[in-house]
Amino acid sequence: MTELRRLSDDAADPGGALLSSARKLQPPGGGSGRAIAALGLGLGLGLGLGLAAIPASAAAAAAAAPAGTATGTAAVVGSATGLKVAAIAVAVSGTLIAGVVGFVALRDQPSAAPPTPTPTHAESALAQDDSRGTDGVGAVAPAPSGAPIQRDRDQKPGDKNENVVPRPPGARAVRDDLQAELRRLDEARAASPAEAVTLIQSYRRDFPRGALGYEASLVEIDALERSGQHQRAVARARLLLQRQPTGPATNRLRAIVGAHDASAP
Amino acid sequence: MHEPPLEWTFSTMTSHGPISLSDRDVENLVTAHYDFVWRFLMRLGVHEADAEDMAQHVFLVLNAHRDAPEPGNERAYLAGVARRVASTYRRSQRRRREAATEPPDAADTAPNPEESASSRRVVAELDAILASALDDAEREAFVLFEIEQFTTIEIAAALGIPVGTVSSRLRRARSKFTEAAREVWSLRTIHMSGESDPSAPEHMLGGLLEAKSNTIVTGHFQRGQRR
Repeated sequence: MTELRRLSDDAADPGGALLSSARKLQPPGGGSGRAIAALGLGLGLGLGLGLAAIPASAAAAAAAAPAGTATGTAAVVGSATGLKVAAIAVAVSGTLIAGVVGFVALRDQPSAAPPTPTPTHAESALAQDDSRGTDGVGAVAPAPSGAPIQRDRDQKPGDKNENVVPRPPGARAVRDDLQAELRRLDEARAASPAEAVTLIQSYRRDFPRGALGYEASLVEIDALERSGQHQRAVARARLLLQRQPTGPATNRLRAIVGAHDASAP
Repeated sequence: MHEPPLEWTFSTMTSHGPISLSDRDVENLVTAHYDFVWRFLMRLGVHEADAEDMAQHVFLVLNAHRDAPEPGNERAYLAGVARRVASTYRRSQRRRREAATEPPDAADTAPNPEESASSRRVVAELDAILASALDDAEREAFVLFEIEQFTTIEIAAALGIPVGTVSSRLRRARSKFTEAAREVWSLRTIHMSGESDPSAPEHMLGGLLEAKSNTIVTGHFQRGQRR
């Protein structure tokens, strides 16, 4: 099949010029580093890339991470106090601003408790182990359940910071919903196969138009297979293929259905 | 994309290392595709102030479901997750707007220092056309094809629809988009030719002349004036 011509390649078209301009847009600097830090990855390199821009709440949360659960760079200071962890983080980041903000955050909170009540990904990142690297189904990834690391948006109203971007109403609710969906699927993946099937059904009831419906189906199919309910797994795979004939896991689903059809009398 | 042998089952495919992404794989995918995910979310209606958060969520999903995308399909998978996240975001914003008693805060965006004011206006105009001329399904396919340079096969994998449907959706979207852009363009040409105040804020494409595509657009404008 011949690939369609792109309008954005047509400099003689007004719409093409608009589209072409949009191709050049770049996000604010450091976004990918913060995303890597939010996933709890790249702790060696990530400190340099990401922590420079992590708000004080995340730095303080990292400082409050329980000793003995840290890995990577944080393990170097595994028995140190929260203050030392923060100090090293600041030194690695090499950012004076982060240092000042981190110091102020810790000074204002003598107990070293994080300024925000919910755990952040920086905390989760320090607490996770390496066991989830290869086994995607049975393992539980702790990082996804926390809050993303943001640019400096969660300060209190009185905070003085020119970089504050006020959040539009409702954005927090979206974020909370998405996190809740992720947590529910995390729980299902960590449960026994029979429990996982029940948990996925419960997820579907609570999030009938959820953002993770595709992933939920994959977890369910896996759980059905592992619990010996092959027929139901095949039926689910067939249904998912009907709904999304070209999805990202299509070959896998076809293999399940194909193997079943090939073995049928 | 390779077809797996029939003896592969779901369990065996997902419980072996090579199928599930490693930490390094995920990190590399974030580095390689963060910009695209951020741009795509914004073109699908995610507010700039939330784009980073939502982009992080897309990668959180990838990180938690490392076995979901088959090898070679990671970019398409990210696009699919971003599409669903953006859809959830839009739905929530719509619900809030319907329930809101106060008007939305117009000054809720802090400028990205790396963007000029003119390029922001260009993007705002593009988004206005995308939102008004295309439905959600057309918009998703169109943005992936025109801005992110996806092939139709990649779009099919991202959206979970047949390639033929992608092609027809793209043709329809292109026709609508072109028509809308030309209408806006002709309105602007009338304004700029002196029939109204060219500094009026309602000028669509008002910032286009100052944009990065300055030369191209100016050429268009001059041709439009001569007609």
